[in-house]
Amino acid sequence: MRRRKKPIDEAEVDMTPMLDVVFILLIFFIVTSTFLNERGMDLTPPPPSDGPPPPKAKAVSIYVDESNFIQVDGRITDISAVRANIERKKAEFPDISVVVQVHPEAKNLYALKVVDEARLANIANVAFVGSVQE
Amino acid sequence: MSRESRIAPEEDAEVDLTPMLDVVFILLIFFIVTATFVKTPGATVEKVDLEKVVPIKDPIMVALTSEDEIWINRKAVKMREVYATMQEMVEDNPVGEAMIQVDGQSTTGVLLELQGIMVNAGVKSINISTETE
Repeated sequence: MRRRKKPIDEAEVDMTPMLDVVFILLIFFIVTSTFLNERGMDLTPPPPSDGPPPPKAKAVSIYVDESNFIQVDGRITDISAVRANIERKKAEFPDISVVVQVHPEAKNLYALKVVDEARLANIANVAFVGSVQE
Repeated sequence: MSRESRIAPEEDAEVDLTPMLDVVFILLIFFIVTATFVKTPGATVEKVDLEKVVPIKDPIMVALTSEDEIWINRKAVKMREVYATMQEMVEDNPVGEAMIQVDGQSTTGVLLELQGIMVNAGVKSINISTETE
């Protein structure tokens, strides 16, 4: 190998080992990177309050029983009709809240759908609670 | 300037690697910055299709399967172990936003109990994961 010495010229650093390391790091980060794109519905329980419960506010009471039947104010209703029912009540009382009571054996599919429907009806105050024995 | 003229034709050709190194470095930095090491629950769930949703960045992930099993960080966790596991997770992720991947066939009693334990363990907000297109 004839290597010409260049004493005055700029010194050359061999980049190859660094490039190897950088490539390995790059591949590691490409492989481990997960672009997870999670979207979710907020279901944070409200903080417990010590004070007395607020004065009787108008509320739509929805109950999902153990066989996943949905009752809106005591009437058995289909999931697709829940929002219309809430909206009708909301037209009457604009600051109405919704209480979704669920039987512990009910499926989350129906319970969460009902909460979602209530949120879609633009109800500010939607409570999601377990049922206290009917 | 006189460098080119000195290169003998039979000598091995040298490729200038500097531009490639620049590109590789930029890619590397991009992947380092965007790397998020989220502990996935590792269970398959049939999520509920919800509409009123918001995107959540780097949440604490919990899964609730159709058999009412709780999965955190690729392990099935018993209800009484959830509190301790959650406290560890909150320590690693002080933002404290949690995402529960709830299967539609799981029961609400378990979800409500899980929700209560998570809040007690210091989780600040709980979200129910939905199907993403």
